[in-house]
Amino acid sequence: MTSFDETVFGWLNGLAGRSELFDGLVRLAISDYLIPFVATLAIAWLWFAGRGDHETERFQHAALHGLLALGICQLAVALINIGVGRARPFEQLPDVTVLFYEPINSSFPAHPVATVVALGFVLWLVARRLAGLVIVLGLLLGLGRIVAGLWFPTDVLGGIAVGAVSYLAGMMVLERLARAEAFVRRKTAEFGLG
Amino acid sequence: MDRLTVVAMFSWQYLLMAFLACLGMVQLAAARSGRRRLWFLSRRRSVVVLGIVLFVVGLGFFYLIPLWTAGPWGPPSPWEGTATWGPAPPKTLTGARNINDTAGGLSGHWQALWFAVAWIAAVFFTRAIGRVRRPTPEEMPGDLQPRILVGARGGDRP
Repeated sequence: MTSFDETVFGWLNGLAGRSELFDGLVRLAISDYLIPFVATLAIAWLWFAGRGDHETERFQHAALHGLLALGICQLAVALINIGVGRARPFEQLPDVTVLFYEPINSSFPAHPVATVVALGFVLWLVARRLAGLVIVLGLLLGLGRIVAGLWFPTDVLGGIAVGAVSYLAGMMVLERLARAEAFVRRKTAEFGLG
Repeated sequence: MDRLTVVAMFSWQYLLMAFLACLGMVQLAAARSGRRRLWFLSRRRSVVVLGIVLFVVGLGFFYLIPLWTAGPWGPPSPWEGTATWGPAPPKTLTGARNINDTAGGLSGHWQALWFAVAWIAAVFFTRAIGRVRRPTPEEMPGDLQPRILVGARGGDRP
């Protein structure tokens, strides 16, 4: 653990346990079901949101890119977890205030942050305001979980890096699957779902 | 608490939240793109409002239902693993859903599965409503289909 990690973690985790209202808001913001769910919904929204043929094609391309980035991100985190088994802050440090259940998997990288950031980067290609919102929510999730005693700052930075790599990998894979993409878009259009 | 009972409870509640929120998202997307065949209502502004309402109701349902439904979020604290089976006290409501997947919360894989099911269901439900509200000529019942009369002339006069 670096001194950077310890210092920033200590400062942010020191905010927990002082106010019931603040702790309650943090618990809601870092829920497993809220911010990752909203980010995934934003990607799903793209499928039907395009105006005209050109924008529809761009948006649906981005939606498929998001789906691929999501899958790549899950795989990347699972592989990193096999190689890097980092203990959580509450397991390593004394006097940590924990506002959440105590997960048993590796602290590095911050899995939900990686997922949300990857989706945010994909959205950035086509809908910048929405992307900005999703990326900010991803950062809030990261900060919130540091406050809650679950992650070190470098776990969050690692999550952002994994999200960025997943976004790039998704882009490269989709470029090689142009025919598959055209097939999916044609079939969904045939069923009136394109 | 039986883990499978908790997983089943979380699953149906997550599925319902995702279905409602996905319906809302389809409405918002369709309102933006102007795909009227996906609209539940006739006016764009009403479709946008409905989309937002469905999204908020979906999330609200999921996060508020612990207040009146017994579950693994009873006092004193679900996230500390000390919860009893019962409704969540308002004081711990924001953390009521924070239950480890080893204790019955939904893992990422389950969430991905239920989200996909909810999205597909919401899209097909929307299409079905659209077909009823705005059928294409091919989808209309036979006696209501518009007829093209080849070579038709003005009415014969006796």
